[in-house]
Amino acid sequence: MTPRRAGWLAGLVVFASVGALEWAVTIDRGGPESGDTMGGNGFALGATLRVIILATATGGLVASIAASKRGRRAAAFAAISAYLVVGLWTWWQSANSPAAPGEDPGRYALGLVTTFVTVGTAFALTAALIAWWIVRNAVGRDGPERVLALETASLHGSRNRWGAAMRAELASIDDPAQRRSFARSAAAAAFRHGTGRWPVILAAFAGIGAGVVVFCAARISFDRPRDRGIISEPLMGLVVVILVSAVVAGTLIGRSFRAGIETAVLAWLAVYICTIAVEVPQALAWYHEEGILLLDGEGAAGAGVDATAAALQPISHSAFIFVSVSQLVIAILAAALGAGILRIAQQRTRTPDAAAQ
Amino acid sequence: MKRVRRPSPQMVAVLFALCERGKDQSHGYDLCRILDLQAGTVYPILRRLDERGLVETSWEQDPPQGRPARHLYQLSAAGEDLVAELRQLEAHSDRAAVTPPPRPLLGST
Repeated sequence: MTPRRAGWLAGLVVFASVGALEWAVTIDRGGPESGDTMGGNGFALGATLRVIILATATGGLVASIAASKRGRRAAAFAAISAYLVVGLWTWWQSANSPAAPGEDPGRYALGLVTTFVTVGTAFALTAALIAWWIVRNAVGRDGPERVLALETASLHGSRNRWGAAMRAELASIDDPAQRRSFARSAAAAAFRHGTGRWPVILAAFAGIGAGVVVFCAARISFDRPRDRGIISEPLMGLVVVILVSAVVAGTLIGRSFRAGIETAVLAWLAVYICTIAVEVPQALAWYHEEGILLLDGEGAAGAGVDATAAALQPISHSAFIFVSVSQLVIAILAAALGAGILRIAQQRTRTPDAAAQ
Repeated sequence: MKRVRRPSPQMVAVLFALCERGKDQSHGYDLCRILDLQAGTVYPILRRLDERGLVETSWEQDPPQGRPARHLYQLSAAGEDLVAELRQLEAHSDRAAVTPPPRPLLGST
């Protein structure tokens, strides 16, 4: 068995197991009728998407790192650091939100472990992927050369030749100050002109789509029993679907992981801004009409919550980490997914495009 | 009638500089120094000129050992036609515009 195939297989087995565990915990909570704010189809759909993306990205990353020694150490260091950060965050969460009276301690601990494994692995994978890609591409004899090499990495078509021309020109300059100036200016040009307008177009599409979905989810949830907010609305899973679709499309159109990363960051920003732009007025409407909070549907009256707090609830730190940062991680992993699809397609058609990945 | 978009002053400067070199090929960095423009300005222009068929490009033959081959640029026939057209336009605008003073076509050159 080749290292590539072993990597894919290992990734699939690990995340199929974790996914099954997370799914079991979700179903065990009783689904949408249980009144559990985190239970229900939306959460299960999100779990499924996370598992699919994580499994695919793990397979691709492990296979790529196994095939290329360069960057392996940086990827491992980044992954361990990410696990450490998520571990500390999980510990902090458990210290601040201990098990409720009467809650089964075993189930509470299982929930924490599941969260740590899924969130930690997603963050670790993303960190490893970025570190590995940077180290693999930032090759050169000094800083300016490495910066320019990174910025011109994975350009395709005529832009690939253009990047090579700038790198060759830099190699012929000896004066350190001129090297720095040339590299800085050329890298900025490569950043601006490297992948064209598609990342921006796709980001706009993702942002508008997410805004529409959030608006519909808020209105549909409002007409349902008031003990759940939009976080349990199955329709919210579409936001991730839109984000992932936009990023995969950006990777395939730009024919590189670099184009995918650009699309991922821009689309994530657009989705975040549009989501908040819809959620804040909706939160105010929920608060004024029924005195409940948009995210979890719990009653705000009597809990010391005012209109401002209700409106700002969607951008609180926990909502930001749970939803938005996770979406960024998913978007970057979707870029890896797109790059994997691209590579497979190129291998099948035997197109000699060195720009891929 | 086909609408011709007037090139930017920097692009005109690059075209004129390439024209002055005649049949000699230029490196991108040489153009940056001659025109006192940043690489981030000159290289996107060279890429656009290449895509429009206004320059001919080639890779340096026999580069020094340990250094990659540099990309060389030379005005194509279409580029020469455009330069001639631009020179006519420049001369015409110089004659026509008395007040206010004409916008410099060559930028910093």
